[in-house]
Amino acid sequence: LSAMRTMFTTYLALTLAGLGLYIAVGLAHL
Amino acid sequence: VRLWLKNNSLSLFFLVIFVATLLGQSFAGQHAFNEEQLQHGGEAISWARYVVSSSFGEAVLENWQSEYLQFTLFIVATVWLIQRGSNESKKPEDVGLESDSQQLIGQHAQRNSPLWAKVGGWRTTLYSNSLLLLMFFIFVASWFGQSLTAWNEYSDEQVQHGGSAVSWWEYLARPDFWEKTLQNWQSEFLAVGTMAVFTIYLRQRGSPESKPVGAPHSETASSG
Repeated sequence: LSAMRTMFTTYLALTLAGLGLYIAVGLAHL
Repeated sequence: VRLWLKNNSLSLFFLVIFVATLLGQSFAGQHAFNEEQLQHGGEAISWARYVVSSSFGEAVLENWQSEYLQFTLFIVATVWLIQRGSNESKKPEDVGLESDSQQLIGQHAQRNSPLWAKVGGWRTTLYSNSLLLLMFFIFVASWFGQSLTAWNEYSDEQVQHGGSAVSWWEYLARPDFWEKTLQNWQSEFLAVGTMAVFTIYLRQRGSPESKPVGAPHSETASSG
């Protein structure tokens, strides 16, 4: 059960981190 | 450890090839970026600088948004639309949101059902749409990120070529934004449609993406 949660969290963190990083990069130009 | 790897092999496999290809993209992208910089009398940048550039961010997010749009549309469209004979479709009689008992929610929940499927009210409504909502959120956020990073690049280029910078709002109406967006969408839509239709007549033994090899062409919604 904990492995399933680990995979879920890993993917969620990965996508949110990518989105956060590149939205910040995009906004930094403002 | 071996069992752990086996139980999660599908997500681990895609995680590994995702990271490998993203790294590959970053190195190839840095070299392509620097080639162009040198041709235009600019300075080459380091890999670490390129990874946090609008150029790389745009290239990453423009592909992300279309993938998440594809899954968002696929999840919602397959609730209401069907393709007879396709493994990607549900059966004609199941069109729509289905009954509470089919969905195992509220009083029809099982002992091991998720809590929010059992409780009813807004929590069950929210949980009933949680997959779609998260995929849609990632689509919107990555499309927004694409628009920002592509706008930076576009504006810089305008200025370098003696033009004037454009605002983000103005950029959203420029053909550059829509070409980058639509070229990704069209390929996703074709691939999804292709998948839905090809599974009517074609099979992959052992794959849940396919009907069983011996299943009749007219059989809708079964997994091999």
